[in-house]
Amino acid sequence: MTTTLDPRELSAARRVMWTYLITGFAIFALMILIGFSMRMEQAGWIAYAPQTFYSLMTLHGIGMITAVAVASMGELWYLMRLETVLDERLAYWAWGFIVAGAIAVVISVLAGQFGAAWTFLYPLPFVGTWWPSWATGFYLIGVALVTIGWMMWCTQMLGCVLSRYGGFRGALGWDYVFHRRAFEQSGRTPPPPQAYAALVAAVDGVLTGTIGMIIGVALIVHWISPSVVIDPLWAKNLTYFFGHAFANLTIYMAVAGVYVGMPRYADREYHTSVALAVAWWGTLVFVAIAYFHHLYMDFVQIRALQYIGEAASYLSSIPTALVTVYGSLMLVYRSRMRWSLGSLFMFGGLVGWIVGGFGAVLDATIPINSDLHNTLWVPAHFHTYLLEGVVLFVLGWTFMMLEERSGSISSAAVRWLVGLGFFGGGGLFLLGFYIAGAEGVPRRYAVQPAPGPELSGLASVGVIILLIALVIVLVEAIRLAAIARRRTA
Amino acid sequence: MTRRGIAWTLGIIAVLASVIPAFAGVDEPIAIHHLDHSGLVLLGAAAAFFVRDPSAKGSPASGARWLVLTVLAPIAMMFVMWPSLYDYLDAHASLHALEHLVLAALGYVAVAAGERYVRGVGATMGVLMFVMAVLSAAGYGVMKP
Amino acid sequence: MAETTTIVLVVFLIGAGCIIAFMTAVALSSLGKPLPQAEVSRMGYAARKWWARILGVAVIIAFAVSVPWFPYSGAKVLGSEQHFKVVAQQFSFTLPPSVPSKTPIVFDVTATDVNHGFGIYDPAGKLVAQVQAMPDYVNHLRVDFTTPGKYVVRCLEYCGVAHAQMQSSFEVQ
Repeated sequence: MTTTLDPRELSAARRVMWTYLITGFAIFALMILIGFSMRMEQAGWIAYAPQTFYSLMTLHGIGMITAVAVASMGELWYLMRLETVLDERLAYWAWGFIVAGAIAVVISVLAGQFGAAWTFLYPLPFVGTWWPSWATGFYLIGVALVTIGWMMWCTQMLGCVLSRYGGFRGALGWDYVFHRRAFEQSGRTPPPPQAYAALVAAVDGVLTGTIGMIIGVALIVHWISPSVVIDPLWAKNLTYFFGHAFANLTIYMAVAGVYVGMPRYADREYHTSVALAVAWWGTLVFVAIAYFHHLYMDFVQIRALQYIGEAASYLSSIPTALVTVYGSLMLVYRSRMRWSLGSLFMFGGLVGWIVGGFGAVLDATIPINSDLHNTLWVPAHFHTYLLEGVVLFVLGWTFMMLEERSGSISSAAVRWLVGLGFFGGGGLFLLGFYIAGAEGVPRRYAVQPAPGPELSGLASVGVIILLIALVIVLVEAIRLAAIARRRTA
Repeated sequence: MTRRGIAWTLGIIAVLASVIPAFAGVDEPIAIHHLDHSGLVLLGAAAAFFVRDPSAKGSPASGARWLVLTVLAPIAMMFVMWPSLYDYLDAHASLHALEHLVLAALGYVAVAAGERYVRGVGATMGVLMFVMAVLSAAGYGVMKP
Repeated sequence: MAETTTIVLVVFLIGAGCIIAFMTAVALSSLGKPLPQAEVSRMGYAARKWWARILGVAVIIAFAVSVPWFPYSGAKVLGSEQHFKVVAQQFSFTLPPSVPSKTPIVFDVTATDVNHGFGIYDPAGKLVAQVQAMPDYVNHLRVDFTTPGKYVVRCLEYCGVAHAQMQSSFEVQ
C-alpha cells in the first residue's frame, strides 16, 4: 500500500525529517544543560538569583516541550510522506513559524528575564513581575507563533489522513471495525498503525491549537489593553488543556516510529488490528479530557469534571498497556531481535512510558493527588515518560535511520555504556524527583526545604552520568552519519 | 432546495443577522455578545459548507495557501472579538455591523479554504471556531457571574 | 494520611521494579531459541484477554475506592464546623494564628493577586492537605486536625520571585 517514492522525492522527504529532528535535538541539548544547572542550583552546588532560576525554568519547560514536539513532528511527517504525497513547503513553513516563535521566546527570557513559568498562568505574566512588559509580549507572541506552526503541521496531517484513507470514517477504520467481513471482502485494508498516530495528532492537535489560540489571544489582548479582564479559572482550564494535550501528544506521535521500527528489528509483521483501531479511538478522546487532573486542587471547578478527569486519566493507560506496549512485547518475545542502539532505545522508551505512566496514574488518583499535587512527583513522572519515553522513541527512530543508511551498528560496549548511562544515570535523576515528591518537597522552588537539596544533589550526579551517555550517543550518531555519507557518495 | 440555494439563504441570514442587531442598538453583556458572534461565525461557516463542490476532494499535495487561510482565520476571529471594543461598537452601528460581517466572513473563509484544501478539514475548523467563540463567553473579557 | 505518600512511593517502586523486570525478561527471551510469530500471537492474544480483564477490574476498583476519599464534599458538614479565612498574596499568607484540634475545620481560601497554593505541612513535615488559592474564587478546604503542634503553610503554585519563601504557620491547639 505504501507509495513508492523516487530517489529525488525520498531525499526531499528525508530533508524535511532531518530538519525537524536536528532542530529538536539542538533545542533538547541546550535545554538539558539548563535543566542540569537548575538541579545543581537546587542542590546548592551553584548559586542563581531567584529571577535567573525562574527565567531559566520557564525556558527549560517551554523549550523541552517544543524540542520533543518538533522532533516527533519530523518523524511522523516522514512516515506519512511514505503513505501519500505531502507538500514539503508547508512542512518548512510550519517549521519556520516554530523556530521564529522559539527565537521570540528565547529573547523574552534571556534578554527580558521573563519568568512566569511556561504555563503562563493568568494573571502571573502581568502581576508582580521583575521583567519588562515587552518581554511578556515577546513571550506570548512567541508561543502564539509556535502554536500557529503546530496548527499548520496538524492541519496538514489532518488533510493527509482524511484524503489518504477516505475521510474520518476511513481514517478511523470505522467500517473495518464494524463491518469487517464486507470491508475485507472488498479488498480494502485499514490504515497502518502509524496513520492512527497521525490521526490522533491531527485531530487532538488542531483541537489543542484552537484552545491554545483562545487563551493565547486573550492574553495578548490583555497585554495590549489591560482593561480586558480574564476569568482566572477559565484561563486555568484552557491553559492546562493546551499544555497537557500538547505535551501528551508528543509521545503518541513519537511511538509511530516504534510501530514501524520494532517489526523491522524483530523481523516480524505488525498490522492494524481491531484492538489497535479501538485503542486509538480511546486515546483520541482521553488525550483531550484527561487534563482535568491539573485542576483537582481547584475545588471550585465543576465537580463532574473532577470525576471525568480521574476516569479519563485511568482509562488513558489502557490503550497503551493493552495494545501498543503489549503488542510490542509480542513482537520482541522470542523473536530474532537485532539489538542495536536503535532497537534498545525503542524498547527502553516503552519501559519508560509504562513506568512514567504508572507514576502518573497514581498521581491522577484524587485523594493521592491531595498529597502530591505540585510536589516534585509531578516533574518525576513527566520526566520519566519524556526523557525515558519520547526522547528514546525519537532517538530510536533516528538511529534506525542511521543504521540502515550506514549498514552498521554500534559495538556492544557502546550499547552497554549508553544503556547504563541512560537507565542508571537517568534512573538516579528521576529517583531524586520521586523521593522528594513523596516527601512533599514542592516543585518550582529555587530554594527547597529538606530533603530537597540532598536529593537534588543525587539527581545532579545522575544527570552527569546521563550527559556522558548523551555525548557517546552524539559521537555514535556522527560516526554512523559519516559512514552513511561515504556509502552514498 | 439545492446546495447553492441553502448557501445563499444562509448567507443572506448571516448578513441580516449581522446588520439588524447592530442598528437595533441592543446593549448586551460581553458574554452574550460573544455568543451572538458564535452564531454569526457558524452561519458563515455553514454557508461555505454548502457552497463547496461536493465532488472535489482536494489533496494535501498542494493548496498550501488554503491551509494557511484556514489556520489563520480562527486567530483573526479572536482578535476581532476584542472585548473592550464592544462598548464602543455598541455606540457606532455601522462599525458594529462591519465587525459582524467580518466575523461571518471569517467563518466562511475558514470553512471554504479548509474544504478546498482537503474535504473535511474546513468543516472541522468551522466547528472549532464556533466552539472557540462559545468558550470565549465563559471568560474572555468576562468575570465569573 | 501522613503516611500515604510513603505507601505510594513504595507501591510505585515495587510496580516500576516489576515492570522493568518483566520487560527485561521479554527482551532477554529474544536471545534464546526463537518461536514462530504465529505461535507467539496465539499465546499472546490468549493472555491478553486475561490482562484486559485484570486491568479493567483494577481500574474500576481503584476508581470506586478513591471516590469516598475525594476532598470536595468536606466543606458541607453538619454546621458544627468552624470556618477560617485564608488570603494568599505575593508573597505571604493571611492566616488564623491558631485553630482547634478534633473539630471540623474549613479553610475558606482565596488570593488577591495571582494563583497560589495553600499547602499544610504537619509538625513532622509531611504535606497533609492542600488547595489552590485563586483570585476571584474561594475554595473551601476541610481538615480535621488530630495532632496539636505547629503546622507550616507553603505556597504550592508558582507565584513569582519569592515563591519558595512564601511560607507561614499556625498552631493547632
